[in-house]
Amino acid sequence: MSEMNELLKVDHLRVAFDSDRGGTVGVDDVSFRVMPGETLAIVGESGSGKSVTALSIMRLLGGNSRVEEGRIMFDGRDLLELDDPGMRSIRGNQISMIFQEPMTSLNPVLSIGFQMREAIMLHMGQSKKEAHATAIRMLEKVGLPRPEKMMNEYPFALSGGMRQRVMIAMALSCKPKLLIADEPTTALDVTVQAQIMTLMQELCREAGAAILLITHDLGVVAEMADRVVVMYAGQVVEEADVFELFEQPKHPYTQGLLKSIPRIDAANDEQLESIPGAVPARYESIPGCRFTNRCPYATDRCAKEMPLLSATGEDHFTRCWEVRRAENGLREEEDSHA
Amino acid sequence: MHNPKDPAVPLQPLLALENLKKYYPVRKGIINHTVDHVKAVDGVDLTIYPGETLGLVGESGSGKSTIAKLIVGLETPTEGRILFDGQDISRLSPREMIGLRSELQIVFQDPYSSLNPRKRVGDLLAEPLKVHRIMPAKDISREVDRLLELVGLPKNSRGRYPHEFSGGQRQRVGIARALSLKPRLVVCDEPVSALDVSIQAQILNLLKELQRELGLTYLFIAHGLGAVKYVSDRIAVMYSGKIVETGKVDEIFREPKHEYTRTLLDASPIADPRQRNKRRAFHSH
Ligand SMILES: Nc1ncnc2c1ncn2[C@@H]1O[C@H](COP(=O)(O)OP(=O)(O)OP(=O)(O)O)[C@@H](O)[C@H]1O
Ligand SMILES: Nc1ncnc2c1ncn2[C@@H]1O[C@H](COP(=O)(O)OP(=O)(O)O)[C@@H](O)[C@H]1O
Ligand code: SF4
Ligand SMILES: [Mg+2]
Ligand SMILES: [Mg+2]
Repeated sequence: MSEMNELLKVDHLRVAFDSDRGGTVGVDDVSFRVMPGETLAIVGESGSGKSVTALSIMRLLGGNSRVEEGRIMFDGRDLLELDDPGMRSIRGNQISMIFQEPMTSLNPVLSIGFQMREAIMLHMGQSKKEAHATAIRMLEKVGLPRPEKMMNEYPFALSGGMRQRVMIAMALSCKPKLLIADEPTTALDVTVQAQIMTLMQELCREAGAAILLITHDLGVVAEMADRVVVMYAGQVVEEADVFELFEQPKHPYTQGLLKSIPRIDAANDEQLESIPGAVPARYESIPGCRFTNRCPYATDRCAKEMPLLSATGEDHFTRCWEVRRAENGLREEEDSHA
Repeated sequence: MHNPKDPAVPLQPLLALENLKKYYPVRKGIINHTVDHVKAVDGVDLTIYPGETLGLVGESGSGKSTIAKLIVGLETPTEGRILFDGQDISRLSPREMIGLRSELQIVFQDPYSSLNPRKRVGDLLAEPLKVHRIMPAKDISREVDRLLELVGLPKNSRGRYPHEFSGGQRQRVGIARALSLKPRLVVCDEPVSALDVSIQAQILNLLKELQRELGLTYLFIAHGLGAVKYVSDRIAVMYSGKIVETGKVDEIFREPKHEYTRTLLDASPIADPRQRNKRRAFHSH
C-alpha cells in the first residue's frame, strides 16, 4: 500500500448534528486520501454526505455540528486540532473551495475586483496594486473577456458560467495545494459544464494543485478523476482508481449505479438495470450494512454487523462482507483503510 | 413516417405543431411599457406520431418547457397552431379544453412542488377521476388501487402525504396522476432531472413499460442526452426558441448535422474513462 506523502488524509471521520429532534449522524467512518496534484472525485446520491465531508475539511460546518471521531491530516497537520487563526491561514490559501451556487459565495454588493483584491491581499500578503494585477491576470486565465472591465462588474450582472469562472479565478489566485469543488457545474448547461471542468483541471494541473471534486454525475467522474470515492448513506463504500472502478466495480451499490446510467455511447434497446428501493430513512441506526435492503447479495450477517472499509485489491477499498469473503477468505480481523 | 400496417398510407400525426410562437413581453423603464419580447418559442414545427417517443433536448432557456405548457394549454400561443388528432386546440376556451384535458397530460420535473402537500395520495389520485366523471363513484377506490399498482407503489400509500415519500416515489405518484385519465399523449418535462441516479433508471424503465402496456405517446423533454437516447425513437434539438434538427435517435448520435447538436454531443460526458482521450470538448478549448 502506498505510504507516499499524501496531501490530505481523512481518517474515520464521524460528524453528528444536534437538532431539536435529537442527534443525527451526517457522515460516519469516512476515510480517503488525496495525493498531491491528483483529482479525486467523491460521488454519491443526495444526502450521502459529500458536502458534509467537504465542509468538515474546511471546518465550515455550522454550529449544530460536532466532529465525534477521526482526523483530517493536511500536509502533515491535523486540521481538526488547529486553532481558529491556524485554520484561517489554511482556508482560502492552501485549501480553496468552489461551491455549487457561486451566488452564495460571492458578495452581491461588492464588485468582482474588490472581492478578488481583498482575498489576494489577505492570503498572499500582496499590496493593493499587486493584488489588482494578480486579479486581472487570473480573470484573463479563466477566459473572461476584457478582465479590466470585469473587475468593476457586480456578481448579478454575470451569467452562471461566468460567475463560476470568477470563482475559479478567485480560488486559484492564492495558489492553493488543494481545490475542493462541490458540484461546481450542477446548475450549468452541459456545454458550459464541459468548458468549466476543462478549465479547472488545466489550471490546477499547471499550478500543481490537487482537486477534490464532488459530483453525482458519473460521466463527469469518468472524464475528470484519477481516483474515485463512492459514498452511500453517510459512508464511503468504495475507493479505487477511476479505470478500475468503472471496469471492475466491487461494491454491489457501485455495480448497480454503473448499470443504471443511460449512456450516450450505448444502444438504447437494452433494458436499463436499476437498483430497487431507496436509501433507508434513518440509516444511522441500522446496525449492519446500510445497503442491505437493496442488495441482491445480502446475507443474515449483512443486516446485523457493519462491514468495514477494507483493502480488496491494490489501492482498492470496499465496504462489503461478500466482497471481502471472496477476496480474503474469511480473515475478518484485518484493519480497514488506515 | 408511415403506417406499419400499410406502408403506403402515411400515418396521421397525433400531435402537430405548426409555426408555433410564444413571445413574452419584457417591460423596461419607469413608464413600464412594453419595449421588447423574449422569443421563448419562435416558429416551431414538430410532429409526434401515435405510440412514439419524441425526445426534446436543448440548453436551459431554449424554450422546451414553454412548448410543453403550450401543448397542455397552460399557455396560449402568440402565433401558430397546435393540432391534436387533426383538430386545432391552440385557442380553445377553458370549457372546451376540459374534454381534451384527459387526453393530454403532463409530468413535471419537480416531484417536490408539483403535488399538493395537504392532500393524501389517495385523494390526489381520486380527484381527477371525480372531476372528469370518468367512472361511477363506487369504482373510484378500486381504480386508485390499480393506479398505485401500475406505478409500483404499495397499496397503503393511499393514506400518506407527499412529504412522506422519497423523490422517486413522488414522481411515481405524479405519473399515476397523469395516467389516471387514460391520456393518449403524455408530456414529460424533465421527469428525472431532480432524482438521484439510482432512482432515475427506475422511473425511465417505468415510463417505457407503461408506454408498451398502454400504447402511450410521449414528448420527453430533458437536458441529459443519455436519458433521451434511452427512451426516444426520434429526437428534436432546440436552440434559442427554434428546432435546429430532428431525426431518428441513431442518426442524430451518429451524424449530427447542426453545429449546436455537435457541440452538445461533444460536451456530454461519457461514463467511461477509456473514452477520455478520444474526445475533444472536455480536453481542449
Ligand atoms: N446542518 C445540518 N444539520 C443537520 N443535518 C445535516 C446538516 N447538514 C447536513 N445534514 C445531513 O447530513 C447528511 C449528509 O448531507 P450532505 O449535505 O453532506 O449530503 P450531500 O451528499 O452533499 O448531498 P447533495 O448531493 O444533495 O448535495 C444528510 O442526511 C443531511 O440531511
Ligand atoms: N412566464 C414567462 N415570462 C417571461 N419569460 C418567460 C416565461 N416563461 C419562460 N420565459 C422565458 O422563455 C425562455 C424559454 O424558457 P423555457 O421554456 O422555460 O426554457 P427551457 O424549458 O428550455 O429551459 C427563457 O428565456 C425564459 O426566461
Ligand atoms: S455487506 Fe452484504 S448487504 Fe452490504 S453490500 Fe455487501 S453483500 Fe450487500
Ligand atoms: Mg451537497
Ligand atoms: Mg424547463
